Amino acid sequence: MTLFSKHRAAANRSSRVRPLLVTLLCAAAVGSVVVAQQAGRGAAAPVAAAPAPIGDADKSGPSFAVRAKAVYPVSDKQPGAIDGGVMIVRNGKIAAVGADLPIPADIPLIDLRNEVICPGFVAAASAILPPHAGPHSISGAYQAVDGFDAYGDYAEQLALGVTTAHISPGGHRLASGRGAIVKLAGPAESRIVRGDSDLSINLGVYNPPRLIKPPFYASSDVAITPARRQGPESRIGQLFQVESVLAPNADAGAANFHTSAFTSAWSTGLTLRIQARQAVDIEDAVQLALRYKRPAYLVGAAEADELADSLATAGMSVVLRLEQRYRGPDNPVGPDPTAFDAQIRVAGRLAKLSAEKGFLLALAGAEGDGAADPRMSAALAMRGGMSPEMALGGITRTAAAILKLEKRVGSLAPGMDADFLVMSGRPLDL
Amino acid sequence: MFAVRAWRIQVFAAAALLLSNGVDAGSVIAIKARLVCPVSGPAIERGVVLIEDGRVTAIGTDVAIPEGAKVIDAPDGVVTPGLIDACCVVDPEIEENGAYFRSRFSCPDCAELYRRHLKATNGGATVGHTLSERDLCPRCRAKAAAEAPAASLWREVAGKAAAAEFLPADGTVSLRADEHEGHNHGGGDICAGICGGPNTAKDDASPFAAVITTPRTTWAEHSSEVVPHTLVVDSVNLLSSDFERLLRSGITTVYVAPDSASVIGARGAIVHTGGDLAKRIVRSADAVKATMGSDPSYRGRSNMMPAGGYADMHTRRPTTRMGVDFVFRKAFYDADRWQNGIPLHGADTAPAAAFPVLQKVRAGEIPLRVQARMQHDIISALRLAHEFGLKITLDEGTEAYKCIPELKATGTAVIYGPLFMAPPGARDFVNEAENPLLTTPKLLSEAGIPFAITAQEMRDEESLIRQAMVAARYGLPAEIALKSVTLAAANLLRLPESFGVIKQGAEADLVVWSGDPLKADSRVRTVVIGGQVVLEN
Amino acid sequence: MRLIETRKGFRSARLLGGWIASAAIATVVWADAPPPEKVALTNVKIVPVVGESIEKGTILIERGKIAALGKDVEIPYDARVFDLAGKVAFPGTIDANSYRGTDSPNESRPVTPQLDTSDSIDPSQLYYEDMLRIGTTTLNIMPGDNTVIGGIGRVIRPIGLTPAEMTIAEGAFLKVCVSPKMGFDRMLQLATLRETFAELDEYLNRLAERRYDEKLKEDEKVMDVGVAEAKKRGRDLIRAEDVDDEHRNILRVRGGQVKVLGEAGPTLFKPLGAFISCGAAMDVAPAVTFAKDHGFIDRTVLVLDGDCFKAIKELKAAARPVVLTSNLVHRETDPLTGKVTQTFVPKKFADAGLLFALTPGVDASLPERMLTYQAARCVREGVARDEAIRSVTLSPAKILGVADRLGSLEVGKEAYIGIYSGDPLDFASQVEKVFVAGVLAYEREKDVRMQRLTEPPAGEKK
Repeated sequence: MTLFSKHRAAANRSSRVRPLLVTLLCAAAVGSVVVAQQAGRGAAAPVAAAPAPIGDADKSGPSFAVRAKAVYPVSDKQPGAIDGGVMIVRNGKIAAVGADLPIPADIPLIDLRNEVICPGFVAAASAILPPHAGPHSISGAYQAVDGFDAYGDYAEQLALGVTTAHISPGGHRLASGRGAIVKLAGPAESRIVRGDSDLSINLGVYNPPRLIKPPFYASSDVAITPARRQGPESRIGQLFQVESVLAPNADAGAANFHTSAFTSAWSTGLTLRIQARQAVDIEDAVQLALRYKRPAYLVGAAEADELADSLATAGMSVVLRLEQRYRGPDNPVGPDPTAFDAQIRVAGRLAKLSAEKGFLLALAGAEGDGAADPRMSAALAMRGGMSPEMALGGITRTAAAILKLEKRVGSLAPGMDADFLVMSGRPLDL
Repeated sequence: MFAVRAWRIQVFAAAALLLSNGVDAGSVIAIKARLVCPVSGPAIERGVVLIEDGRVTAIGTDVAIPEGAKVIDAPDGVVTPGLIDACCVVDPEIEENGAYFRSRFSCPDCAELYRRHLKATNGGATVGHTLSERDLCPRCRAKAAAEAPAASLWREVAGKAAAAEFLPADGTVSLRADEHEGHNHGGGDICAGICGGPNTAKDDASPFAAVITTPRTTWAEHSSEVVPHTLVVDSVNLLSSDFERLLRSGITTVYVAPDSASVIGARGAIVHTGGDLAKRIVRSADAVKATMGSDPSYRGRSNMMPAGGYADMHTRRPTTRMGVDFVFRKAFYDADRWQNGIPLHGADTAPAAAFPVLQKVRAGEIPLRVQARMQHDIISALRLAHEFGLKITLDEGTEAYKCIPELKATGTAVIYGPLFMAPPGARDFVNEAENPLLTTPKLLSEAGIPFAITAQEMRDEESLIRQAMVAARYGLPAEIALKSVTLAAANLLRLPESFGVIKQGAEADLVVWSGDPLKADSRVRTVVIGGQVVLEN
Repeated sequence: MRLIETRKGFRSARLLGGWIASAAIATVVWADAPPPEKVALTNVKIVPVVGESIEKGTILIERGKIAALGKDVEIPYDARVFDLAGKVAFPGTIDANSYRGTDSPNESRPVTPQLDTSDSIDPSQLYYEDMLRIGTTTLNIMPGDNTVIGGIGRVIRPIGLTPAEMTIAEGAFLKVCVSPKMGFDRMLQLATLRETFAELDEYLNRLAERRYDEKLKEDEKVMDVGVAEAKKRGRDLIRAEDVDDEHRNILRVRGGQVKVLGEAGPTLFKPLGAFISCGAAMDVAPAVTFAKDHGFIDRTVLVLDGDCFKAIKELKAAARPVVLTSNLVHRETDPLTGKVTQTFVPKKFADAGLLFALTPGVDASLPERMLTYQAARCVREGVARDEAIRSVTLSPAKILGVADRLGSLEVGKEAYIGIYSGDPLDFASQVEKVFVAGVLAYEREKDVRMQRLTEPPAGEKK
């Protein structure tokens, strides 16, 4: 019944969304519909986000039909909008999407005359989880899923339209651990979509604590031992550092729980998620992927337009981070506003190149920006020349494809999870 | 100021129209209970209380219940007047203030951190940074974050203050590197370069050079030590869920007390904790609260706010008990001089706006309450009162049991509380509360000294009634314990006769308990304020 | 096969065996007179926790144990008789998880399985006196929450001159914390925990190899197999004394499945349970999974704080006993509406049918430090009275594995009894007397500190 009161509370706050929510409430009271309302953010604010419960959907998921002013399936078959479209959801999964579908009599209908629906946004990079507190420069033992609160209320993220997100153990260490993919609503036990999704490598990061093992006080039974330093301390060393851990005859004395967790994760063929901003680091990332023939994708990629050919050769997809915060009188953090134009230009060029060379391009907010709005990223990319379809795909379908979740989320197509947003206007209309 | 308040009341009236859910003012409620405690007289077995138009119209065993009345039937329940806290410390913004501090104390490490922090400030040593949420362990921090409201102006300001926390307020840099050891810089932390830590984000130095005063516990105006012209009502956020918290524990009326940081502080307000927003303020400007002892001086020393953070860049005075008494005395003398047109001088001169208020206090038109804990502070308060011919009420009075003859001789009433074995909260650090006596309410009662019991900032599940329970456990007869949190408190607040009792014509502020209110296993079932059911559980 | 006691276990076991007979030291502190062989509490209302209350009953204590109990108990001529007309006898309450009464609850290092709180217990602390004053006669002193693996605890009575004298039972639980210690986050916390357990295997392998090597030297042979085989064969050669302090308790938590050689043939380490501390609902699943993975789920007690009740489904599935921290009311702010919701935590566990124990509040100024008051709060919020009473007496005894000795007033159990002036759950009732193992350990009228708190100094009396 908390859901019920939440609906009512949200409805009370704005009469604009009230009729909609009441309808949604009647129809979806059987399932888990989480409503997050974003107040005063322009014309097309997401007014409701509805991730369907996963897992044993046959028993637990809700069934209903939605008819909207427009449906944006963002799928292969239906890339454009369907005016007056209908989506039928059965047991939490999408059963059918189309223009003239007959509405079954056995399930309730949510009639959205003035709203449109689109897939729930997929955050291919998020700041939901702060970076881990451990000291190790290279570790496969830190698991982002350990830090995820499956019981948490992610209303703020849901209000931005994010229903599925990648969580990372951090971008602050050379190899920070293993990432995970989670949903931000629904029953706690079904929120973790993939506990071990990738091995996180961050190139261009040199800030681990220098001493991995400080010397213990010497005593009669403890010998004086030198403190062990850890690397890398420069760009020259970063690839070497990773490879020395992976080498088959690696120094056994230097191996520890963290490095061996890294090697074992590496050997199981876990996808590499390589974060790199500058061209020189992206070059290293490509090297790593090519040399070891690992599935990998690139995150950050502020200068990736320079290396589009290499990326295509290595088969690497790109999650482009776009900075949304600018230094100003009321914001002391964030880059200089002059960086604004540069990243827009990169986004435009990458959009063109990805179509030409055939690599996937998803959009995300800056590292550590907990309030990054996916639609803002899309808008910035569109200003650089990316097409609206591609931009919307970059925060839904393409992002899901890079996370290897294209069969679950990111578009509205039969068989997919019924995670969708109800918007008051076109999805990318800010 | 008046204009502002008029505006505020209009807003409340408008809000009340929206929020009152169409409560019919003419509705009739009848409460049937096992026991009705009118407080003013003997309890009535199987009594009925009839409420019409926000007033009690009938009380007794054979009250005819009119047709269509809403009947609240509590066959095992007990009805008492709504509790009145005569010295309540309300949190203006954060509803979970009590929990926030308790979460610090529940974890030994954070408690130790906080203890050290307060000791350092108390001892006069300048510590370059204030304790913030970031210094707490992740668990306590998470707890504090979970309990704080999600988004508010305060959160925003606090975030900025936290970002600027390492910037010294007074321009001196005294933070040594070793003091800073163990402070864990995350990637996004801002450290203005003072700590010299390994990840200092020098490029991201905050422009917030002046530390922003947190609005927490700002029940004291810090521009002067004598601020009786300021009104607590201007800070009261009637929508704060702290009031809901009070309501849940059966408290219907409170005197919102100013902070004890000023020698002569603001004028408190008397408000209802629930009901119609437009009718909540019972008295917008009530008694002036002055403080004896080390509270003003302790906070003066290093210019700290009680909960951490700097009040402003100036070092405050006074710094000793002598200084506190001097500032008090000078204020009243200056009021006389001001009236006679004699020019005033001296660093501790109060703002001119204070003097008309002080003159009214002298004339007895505005009541004065003085907070004093230790015996010699109580005696000082009585001495100063005698000097200026003031009629005072004693607040807190931890060692009042040592001054019973003096209190009796001067006819001074006591608003006593909280009761404790070991000093809770900040009292632990001012060394003023080391000799409590749990039987003080009993002794006051036996000596015939008028007294009420207050919970002040002790905000546990039952707050005020728990204080009465402790008093009853240590010798105070139950009926007097109940009276001390209802009728006696109403009398000491000089509220009209209709408050704090159940009788014909009384305010319909009532609490229905599941059993005897002083029993640990009874709870609040229903709260009625102004004839309106404001809480049911 | 025999069980190997730890070093401290020997000491306490010896003392425990003979402490009543040779209680000469104890009596100096405990009471004015040496403990009589037989004590009879007569005319007292007995609330035995198990079974119906008995009005005007008699409890006969012989050699520290309850010998008889009921309405018609014959009082031996040589018994010391206390006529307790109008009073109520209630089992001494049990605090299942306390980190107080020690000099410091945690070592600064995160992983310290070798520690034992008995080395830290300070019998002179006022805390113990306070516990006696409010009728709590049994305390499980555990390391604090600021740790990953904190060490083992100890079940004690709040009276005695040394930790050994105070001991009721040797520590049977290792403190494990899933919610992060200061400066840690959950990723680091769990990685450290996993690392510690993973390291044990490596340690045992190294030990096995060394032992095999030593054996060969003893037999004047040369190494005949590879390293892997040596590690395998050496496993059976590990002796109890070979395992160092830091690994012993981890091994014991894992169930002591490693065979070790003792003087009288192969033996097993005595298994150790775990108190796993969970600060939030998200910690419950990792805690249960970890205990299952390492085979000690059957000996696990979960210590739950905050919103852990949200994981009630997982907790029910795990069916392990829980100890609730003193934050009985959980408050939460809805991020959308700012509305505060309150949950009374023990009710959730009572409804779920889980075995739970309450713990007292830390703040010394509040009634919450009384377990009886905590139980009364449960009654107020709708927990059955019997269950609320059990949650401060028999349930913690069961959780601590001392239910055969403590937790209720039954024939054969040790006489840990609080004498109250009225209903123990009534806040107005005072603890008048406390018997600890049959010895009168506390009397209110002789409580000097209580007199200071309740009677004004003589000179200032009017």
